[in-house]
Amino acid sequence: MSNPSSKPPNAEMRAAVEEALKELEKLISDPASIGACPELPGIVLDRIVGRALDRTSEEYEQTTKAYGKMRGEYLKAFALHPVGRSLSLLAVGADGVRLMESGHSPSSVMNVTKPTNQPVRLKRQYYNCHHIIPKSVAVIGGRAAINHPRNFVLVNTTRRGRDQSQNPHHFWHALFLHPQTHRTLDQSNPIYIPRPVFPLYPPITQGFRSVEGLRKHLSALGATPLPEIWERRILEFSKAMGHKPYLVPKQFHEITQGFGELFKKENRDPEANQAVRDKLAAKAEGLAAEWLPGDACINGKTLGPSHQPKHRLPIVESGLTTEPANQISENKKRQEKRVRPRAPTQKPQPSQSIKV
Amino acid sequence: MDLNEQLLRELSDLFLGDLRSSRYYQGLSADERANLEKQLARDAANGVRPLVPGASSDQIANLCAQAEAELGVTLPSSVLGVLTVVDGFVENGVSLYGADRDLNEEETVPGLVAQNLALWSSFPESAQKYLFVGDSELWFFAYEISSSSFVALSHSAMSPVHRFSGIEALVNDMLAQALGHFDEHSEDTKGTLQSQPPKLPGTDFSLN
Repeated sequence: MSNPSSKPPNAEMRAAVEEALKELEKLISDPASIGACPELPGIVLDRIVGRALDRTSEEYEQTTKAYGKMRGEYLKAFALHPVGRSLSLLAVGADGVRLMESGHSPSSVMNVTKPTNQPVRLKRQYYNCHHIIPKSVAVIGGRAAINHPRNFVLVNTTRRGRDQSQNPHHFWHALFLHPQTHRTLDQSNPIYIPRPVFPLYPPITQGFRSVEGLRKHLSALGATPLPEIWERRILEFSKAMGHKPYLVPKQFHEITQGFGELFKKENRDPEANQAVRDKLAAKAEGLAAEWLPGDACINGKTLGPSHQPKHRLPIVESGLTTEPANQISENKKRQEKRVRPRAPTQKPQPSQSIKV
Repeated sequence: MDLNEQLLRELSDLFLGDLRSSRYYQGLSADERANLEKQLARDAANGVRPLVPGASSDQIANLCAQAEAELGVTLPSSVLGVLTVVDGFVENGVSLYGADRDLNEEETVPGLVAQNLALWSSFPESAQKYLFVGDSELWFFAYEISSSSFVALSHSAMSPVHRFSGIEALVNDMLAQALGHFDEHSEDTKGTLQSQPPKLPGTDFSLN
């Protein structure tokens, strides 16, 4: 499966990936907490103290540029790490891992669409690399803390028209990140960051009811067995989802769908439009408050000590804001050109098919 | 400037390779595979780039009507012209939005109307100011309605960091990013807003 034309990842990135996985293993002690909130399985709220950056600042620009150069190297190093590789095979399959090996974002072909009298099109699933603490937040560790594998997650960002059910990244932004970083320039506040306890999210595309089933599946994928800590996390995630694929809950699609109302003809005059906007903003704030504790700040206002969130996600302080042990040099070349893959000569076993 | 046909063909070739090496394709029966290959050959014979087709005139008409009704925006003819050549793509974290489909049709790329509704919802300050035509992990690509120009926006600042000479230059740049074509000179781009596109070989933005 390896891509012989691709240069191997550098040693410092491989060490950084190792550090990231080790820290992730320490993030939660009880895997049962993965199912604490079925709407957000495997997500913890990582409490950091940070400040929203002026996004036109030099710091923001430099962080963005540096990330662009290192992303490909990170994907290659992650696909090469024994645990990273097995977790990648579970989440994005062999097709996705092949792309990661050449430093590209993983995707996998699900099928093709062939409507009558129309051209054939590929239907794929896409995972993109994202920062857990956004690039737009300044933290103590500076750019070294933001642009580091500890702060990266590969998230499903498949978008199908109005259907955002396979786009948890958008969901996290709308529910948690945007309300907390909006209107807070020049203030250091506690920010609760949604942080997956897996390096890829969702971590699986099919359910596993037993450790034997998981091991058999990994073996069929040609993956090395996972350490017990990861096996338990995968099984808890599967259980929280009722052994079905993860989808963003329908009630959270409303914010996006409701926005369509803004542009209806009856709402086009400025007053009516502002009223609909305010209503929508209040709805988004109300939803965020259902999850966040009292010291969280939404749209520039602290919720207050008497506030009790309706839902209780595990809260951690990962230390991602501090400088990592293995820093990444910023003078690396950007990603390589991807080569056209060759069709495999060996037909896979039925158990290797990807189900969503 | 025209769309770079060489890059489009390269993307089509890459997608064909992805398809043929995929578990999905390997799992097809011999008959199913032969049928699929026949359809791909038919597309090519009809002048369609396999797996990277343009939108049909019906799809363009539907898109225009949806954009008027749901976004309150008249789509620029240059955007429609590009979509007839390449009806969106997603590769390596870079997405060009395509014509939205009817509810009973399967989506294969992010729809332009649906994406604008989602982004305007997340960034109300951008509503009816920018018409988003694509995105990457680092940038949004948009039509700035007030200046009738095409820009790259920083990812949550929603302020232009680069101005393209036209949508063709923008899409060529997205294609280059998606395929991993970069030239070292493009790193000189300072991230400051440029009134004129720089005279660089190859792509003119591509910070990714």
